[in-house]
Amino acid sequence: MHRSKASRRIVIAVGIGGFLAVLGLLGWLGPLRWVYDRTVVPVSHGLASVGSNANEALSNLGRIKSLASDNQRLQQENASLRQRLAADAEIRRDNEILRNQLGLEVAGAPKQVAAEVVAFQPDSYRQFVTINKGSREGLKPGLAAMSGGVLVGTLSDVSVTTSKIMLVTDPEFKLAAKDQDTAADGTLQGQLGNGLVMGKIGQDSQVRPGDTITTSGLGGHVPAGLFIGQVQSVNAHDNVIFQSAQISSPLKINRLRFVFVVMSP
Amino acid sequence: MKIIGFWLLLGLVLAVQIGLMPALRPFGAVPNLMLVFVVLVGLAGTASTALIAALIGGLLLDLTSGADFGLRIGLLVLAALVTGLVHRAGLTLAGPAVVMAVVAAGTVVENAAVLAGLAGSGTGWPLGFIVGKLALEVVLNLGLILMMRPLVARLIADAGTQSVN
Repeated sequence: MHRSKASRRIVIAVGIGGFLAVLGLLGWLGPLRWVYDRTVVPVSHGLASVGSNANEALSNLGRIKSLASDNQRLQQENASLRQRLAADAEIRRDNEILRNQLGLEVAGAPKQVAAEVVAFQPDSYRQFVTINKGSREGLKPGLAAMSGGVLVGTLSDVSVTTSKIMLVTDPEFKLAAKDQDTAADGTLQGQLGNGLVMGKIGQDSQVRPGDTITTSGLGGHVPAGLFIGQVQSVNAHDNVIFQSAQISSPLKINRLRFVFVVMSP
Repeated sequence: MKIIGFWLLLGLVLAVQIGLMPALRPFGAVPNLMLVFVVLVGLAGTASTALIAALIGGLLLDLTSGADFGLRIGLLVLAALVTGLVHRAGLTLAGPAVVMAVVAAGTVVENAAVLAGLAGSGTGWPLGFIVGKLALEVVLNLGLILMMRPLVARLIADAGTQSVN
């Protein structure tokens, strides 16, 4: 008698589990998601901040030895970037003058929505974060998210008050990208192990280590020119159709606290 | 079975698993405290209680995740059922070895399921990275068992329950 009662409970529990999984796959968990956003997310937000801070503190402890050399390298990089910025400002001004003379529209910077990271993906292989802004702020799937001037990923799932970002390092992430220095086009894809690869680069295109990789703006809601990373190495063989390049991104996922969602122009 | 202890510990485990663990990522891996909890509850209490923990925990983890909806509910319910069978077979008297075996097997199944979902993504398959991550996760989960066993024994198991001791 007792055993049959227990068996019945088990069958009911398994049934509920299957039913919830099917509802979720069909995208019919709206009310449950509403409750989740208002109860679990605030708690998760606080704990995620604590976890990120602890992670950063531990990683800083391990980097104390290399701080002096890092500082020197960053100062050199800073000086070179200042020089480049000054040259770019000059070019931008010339561009604006010429566009005005030709009667062309001067492109403005797209609007950005600031958001805070409230939860991280709860497993080791996939790469997602949840932010505290959603469709109420005009966000929609496919929009790009930036942090520290670097592309973080694109919005994959948007509810009223929260959104999920698929990070560039997720193995299922794919986006059209281009080499800013040589104009070579390709497809950026995340890899297992946090790597980034730009594939489908034509054999006649040129890609060199150190080149800057940005979004190409082809397809979707991601504007052109968003910084992704730099070419680390190029993999080119005569017997394959496409070249590929390993990209290094300065993005530190565990230290993500704030992101800016770039609204479509 | 102490009901208040169960709900208190479930809330704590969920808060740590959803908020803290993924942000902390010790050595780059996310340990599965929820799996450890479900297995320990299944051995210390009843299969029904473990199933309740599995359903609630799995659903909240799936809602937090950006991919593979249903995977965590499925895995935790499976872990609760297997633990129930192990408990019913009286194997729990073997001490921590049974808990460790079920948790290690659950970790391997979870990793395999996540990786299977990536089969068509066109990503590379760095074997060293995958094996290293799996081994690290198993070790971390086994470490969590040592931390959780006394808590479950004190807050959830009835006096005289031998299963987790």
